[in-house]
Amino acid sequence: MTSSEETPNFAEPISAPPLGPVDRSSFFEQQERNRAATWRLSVVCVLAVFCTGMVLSLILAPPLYGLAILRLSLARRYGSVSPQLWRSFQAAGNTFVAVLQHFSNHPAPLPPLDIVLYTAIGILLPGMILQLLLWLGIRAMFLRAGAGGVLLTLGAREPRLEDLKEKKLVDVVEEMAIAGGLPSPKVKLLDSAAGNAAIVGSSRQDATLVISRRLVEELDRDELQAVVGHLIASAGNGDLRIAMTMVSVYQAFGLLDTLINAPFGPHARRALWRLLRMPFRMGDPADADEVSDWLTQGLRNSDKDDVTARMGRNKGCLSTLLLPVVIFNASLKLTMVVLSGLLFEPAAALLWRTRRYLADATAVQLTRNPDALANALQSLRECGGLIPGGKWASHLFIVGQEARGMPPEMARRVKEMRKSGVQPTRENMMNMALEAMAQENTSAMAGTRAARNDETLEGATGGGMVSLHPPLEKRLKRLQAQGAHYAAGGRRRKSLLAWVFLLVFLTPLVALSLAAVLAAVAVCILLNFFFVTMAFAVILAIVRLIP
Amino acid sequence: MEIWLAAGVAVLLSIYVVASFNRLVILRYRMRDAWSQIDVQLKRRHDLIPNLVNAVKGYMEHERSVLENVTRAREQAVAAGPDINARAAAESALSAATGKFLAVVEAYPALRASENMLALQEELASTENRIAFARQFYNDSVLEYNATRGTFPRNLLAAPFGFPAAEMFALDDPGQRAAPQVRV
Repeated sequence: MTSSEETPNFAEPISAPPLGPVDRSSFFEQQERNRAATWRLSVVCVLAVFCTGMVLSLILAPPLYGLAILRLSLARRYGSVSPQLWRSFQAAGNTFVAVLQHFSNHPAPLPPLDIVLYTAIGILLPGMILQLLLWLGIRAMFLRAGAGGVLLTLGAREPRLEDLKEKKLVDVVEEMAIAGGLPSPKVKLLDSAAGNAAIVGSSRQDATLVISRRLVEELDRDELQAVVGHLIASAGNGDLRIAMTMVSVYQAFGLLDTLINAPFGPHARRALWRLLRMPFRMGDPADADEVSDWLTQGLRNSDKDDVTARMGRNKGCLSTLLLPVVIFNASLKLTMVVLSGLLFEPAAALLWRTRRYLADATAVQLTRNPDALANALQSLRECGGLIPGGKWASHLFIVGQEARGMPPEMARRVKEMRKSGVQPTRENMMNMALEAMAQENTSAMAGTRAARNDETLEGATGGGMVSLHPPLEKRLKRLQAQGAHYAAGGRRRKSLLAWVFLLVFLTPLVALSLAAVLAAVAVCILLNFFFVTMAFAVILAIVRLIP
Repeated sequence: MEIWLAAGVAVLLSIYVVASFNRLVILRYRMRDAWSQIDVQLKRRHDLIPNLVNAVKGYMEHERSVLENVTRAREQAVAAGPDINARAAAESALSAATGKFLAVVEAYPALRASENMLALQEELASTENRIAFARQFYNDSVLEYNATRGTFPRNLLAAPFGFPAAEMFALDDPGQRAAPQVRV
């Protein structure tokens, strides 16, 4: 290991000394802690998905049972059905009606508890099984394709070994793979102006490290080693599989939505066709990302929704007939978006953040140089940014949206300060940012800002309330605890008054909005139930009328 | 009732024993793999050094002794037997010699700036790093293996199943412990 001479000399006074003593902890302790947190958060994630799935199966129950009853009554009419099956169906229906009557305005006696329980399970089970099958199927399909293949289509190229810097990168990757006892990943370079790096692939055996040329330029050997160490550690810890599993939940929801839309429009059908074709195009990992994009498009923007579009096109009689389907579709979609946004997304984001901390701690184990990673993260704060177009892979990068890149002039000054051993404080940074804003043409700044907003295409998993990457400051603080010479910028603590204010005013607000959202979901479910059962009752009546 | 309880405990115990045994076996294999990785990297260095010496021979007439040192240290390292301590000593002598060589190169601006030399220097630095990291991984594996086999209650199983404590790859001479400073 080369020891860097660029690390600041800490005999010199530092502008912002850390407040209070630093809690030291070894990287082993940090790893242990984050592994435990992974387990806890995984359980939370599973519970969140389970809750969402339960509500969804409540929505799925009326059409599923409607179809089953329709099928049975047709079979009874034109063939034979075992009377036992028919009777159990009737019994379940009667119990359900009795429960509804009990809760409506005219109380009726509640049926025995165990029968109610069986009915509830019977109502929820088909939807749950359907969703489970969809999820398992889609997960199996996408696991082979791997995560983040879209990055390889953005003009990623092989490193040029004649170029000393790129040769150095290849060497560093192999060194870190040796340090982790892992097979060496493939290396690809992106000629991008934003400094960032990611690991993509399906497993630690089949991983590709994608790094932007800018980062290779900016970092010295030790820092590069730390960044590569973080990514290889991430792959070695099994993050690629975790990422794919998290994304597969969205893909399963998207598939459900697409299946419902398929009879009504070309868009969903094309998505399904792409999905079916995918296993035959295994050589093309970018295809998988495109397909998952297609699948979840209907969830993300409503104009990609075929049922509603069909309803808008056909005025009059047909649109009335379509009403149950539209309401079914809308309630399903709203529940998916709201519940997964409220439950699964924050849990998954926290889980992913834990994995970032874990990869940081493992990188420290591999390099035995916490300073290098701390310096690299600080460099990334100066030159980092999102690679435009990598929207299904933004979570696989070492830094995300929190490293948006400073204006060039400011980045240069911050870097100079850092290299001379002075930590820029928060106030310093603020002043420099203001100066940079004043210096540059304001309209030009606004232009780049807008362009950046276009580029920040976080994936379906990234647009949530909780960012998928931990704040850089927190990561640096943890590295400091592991021995990095980093003086945390003195952060003012919120006063007690502010906390009380937050508690008194925000809590009821949050609670109210949560209640409103849940009420909306409940209303949706009821509406859906009403319309869908009505539709099936009408169809059933027509079937009965036919001699 | 008691019989079932005893049977349950016995089943749990045997599951624990099997799991421990398998874990120890996996750790031992990882350790051996790490050890062979060190060998691979050392071999790589042995193959690299003649190239290096040939590339700079012409430029460094005055520093013949440094080059000879490197060559001799390499020969000794190649010739060192299977004994861990002897090998470690020979290899660290070689590290020291190449480190000295790189320090001398710094004094020759023409040599330092040549593209060829830069590439070789990078190659050498990377090789040193690889050896260091392979050793580190081996030592980490040994640490984990020893910790697993040494902690209660697994330490009761380790000896009868034939899992002796493993030795770390350490350098004895405190003078050699100072890692060669390789700057790129």
